[in-house]
Amino acid sequence: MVPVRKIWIFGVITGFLVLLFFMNLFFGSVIIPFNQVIRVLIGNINGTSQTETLIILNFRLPQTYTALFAGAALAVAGLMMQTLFRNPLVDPSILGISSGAGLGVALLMFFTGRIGSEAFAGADWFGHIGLTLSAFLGSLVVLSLIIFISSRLGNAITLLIVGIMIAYVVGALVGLVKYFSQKEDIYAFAIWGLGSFSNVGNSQLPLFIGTIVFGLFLSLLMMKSLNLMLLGERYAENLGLNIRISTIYIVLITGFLTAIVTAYTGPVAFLGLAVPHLARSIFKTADHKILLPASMMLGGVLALFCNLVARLPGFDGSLPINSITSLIGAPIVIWFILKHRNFSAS
Amino acid sequence: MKNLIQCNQLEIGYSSKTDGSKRLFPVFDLQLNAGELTALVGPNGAGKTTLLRSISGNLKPISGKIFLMQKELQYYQAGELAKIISIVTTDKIVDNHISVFDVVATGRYPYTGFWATLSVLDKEIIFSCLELVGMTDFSERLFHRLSDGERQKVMIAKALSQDTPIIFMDEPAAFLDYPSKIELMHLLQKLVRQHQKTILYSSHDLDHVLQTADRLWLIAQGKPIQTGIPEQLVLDGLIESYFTRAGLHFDAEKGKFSHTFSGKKKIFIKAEGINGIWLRNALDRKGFVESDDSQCELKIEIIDQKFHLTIKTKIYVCIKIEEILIQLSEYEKAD
Repeated sequence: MVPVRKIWIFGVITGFLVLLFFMNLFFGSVIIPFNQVIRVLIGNINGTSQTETLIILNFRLPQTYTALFAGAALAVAGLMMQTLFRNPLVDPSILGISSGAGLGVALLMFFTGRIGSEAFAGADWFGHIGLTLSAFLGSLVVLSLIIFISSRLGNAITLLIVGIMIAYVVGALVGLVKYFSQKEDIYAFAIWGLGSFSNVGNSQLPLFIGTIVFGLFLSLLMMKSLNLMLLGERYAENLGLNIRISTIYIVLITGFLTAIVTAYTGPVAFLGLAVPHLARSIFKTADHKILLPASMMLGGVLALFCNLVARLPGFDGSLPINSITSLIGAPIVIWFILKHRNFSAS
Repeated sequence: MKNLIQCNQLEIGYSSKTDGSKRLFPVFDLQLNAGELTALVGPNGAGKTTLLRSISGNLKPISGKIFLMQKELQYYQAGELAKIISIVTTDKIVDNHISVFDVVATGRYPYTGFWATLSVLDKEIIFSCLELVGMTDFSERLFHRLSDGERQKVMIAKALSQDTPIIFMDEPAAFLDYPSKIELMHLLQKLVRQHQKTILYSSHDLDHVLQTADRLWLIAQGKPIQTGIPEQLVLDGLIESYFTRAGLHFDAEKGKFSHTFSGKKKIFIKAEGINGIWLRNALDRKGFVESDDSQCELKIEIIDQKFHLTIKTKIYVCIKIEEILIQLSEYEKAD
């Protein structure tokens, strides 16, 4: 079925995934010897300090899992958006779903005024849950609006324009809320906007991973529809696809994945845009049977890599992940596009 | 079953909320005959695409009924319809990574299960369809790197792999160069004659349509739809009346449109063979008409492979057609 070359590539990517997963556990701003890390991981805590155990099990491990699944989810969401709109420049944030999350957070800080910068250190459990919940509700409101509109339009290009407009409106509302907020709250909001994979604690991890795995599974069910959509609406319809219903499903799954990730990590730019391009270039295919799993794995790889860079030793704490993904993602896309151009010219 | 599609009292067009419905043609009946190559011809903007979309179930008619194999079109499931009518449109595929094989494989999707897994038989069908259009060697190639003609053939292979009795094509020759157009028309004829397909294609190119189609559907905006075999429509003067606009007239003898020049010069031509054909073409292009009068002011004769041009009393011996044209244009200026 799948050519041998592609199986090989999947094997190599799996290797990278495992490697980066463990590197994320081994490296961080605090230097912990390798053998200590291994001891903690296999449950043999004798001889390791309590702080080290805490850092690995309560910080590095959940952060690694969060990066892995957030990366996979954003990459798949980006792939589905690019196929639906037949446009290589769209990403999961295009329909204003992440802006909706931002609005939820902005409203929460405005009305409660209780999110101080200390909430982001993970000390305030209630603040954390409130943050996640308001971000999720905010994106859900925008998502419902988009679904409502797409059920009436059934035309991808009109939907894209309406989505972009909604994103602008939501962004403007965020601006208004910020204008009337206190200085400290605006700072807290800005910090949230930088994104972080360290907001998901061990207690919330099962829910986070569970919902994302569910969303990823649903995306696999759209394989046939996505392949047909590559041909354009008229061909797809002639081949028996119900465009309207497929569009709603795809927007729903994308919105769900984006909402979950943004709620937990804040906005993370570029993974959703860059990874589908990587997947298409590496596997040289447009078949979603390969692109969907490939995007999941490459999304995980790239997110883990960015997370590793963000916490390189020498920095105090970790750098904002949203900046790192852009700094690493943009050159990768440029490099692949230039390479592809040379290839097609020869 | 002689007629695969039967339209009764059909009215088509677009309905809009602001200015009501816009009807393209008077109410019409129409039928698509099985085993024929039917061409839908009309000037640009006449409504060819709209008519095709209406009878393929993509666009709802304003009123009237469409029967597909004796069953009303609106009662077909999308999946069922996908096995009866396939389409080739002018839509571009924008993806840069889709291969020729993958494009043709989508034709098998109506027959595959939920995961679109291709069986050995599906793959055999895909390759035999590629072979039929002469694109076997291209299966691994990227679709977006192909020429327009090659893409058109791949889309036809897609339609063939869909294994439908009916194929609709919207302007299949529009973006093709001249040899590719001829090649395409031969392919369409082969599919109808040897593979029992029924093909309906739209075109604004009368030259090709008159040479290839078994039957024409002649349309022009606001006029009743005319159907018949091409030759009969020419003889009845319908082609002329549906296509003509100011400054153009349809030459029924040549089957071509030409400009109507006022004040044409007459010229007597005595020339045979291939030189004669292209000499006449050049003179026709420059607005001269052939005269039967050997005492005409202008005369051309071919003697010993050379053109002997007589203007009034002077005789010029020309080797190339261009020299004749230069002499004639000087004569016209002096005149």
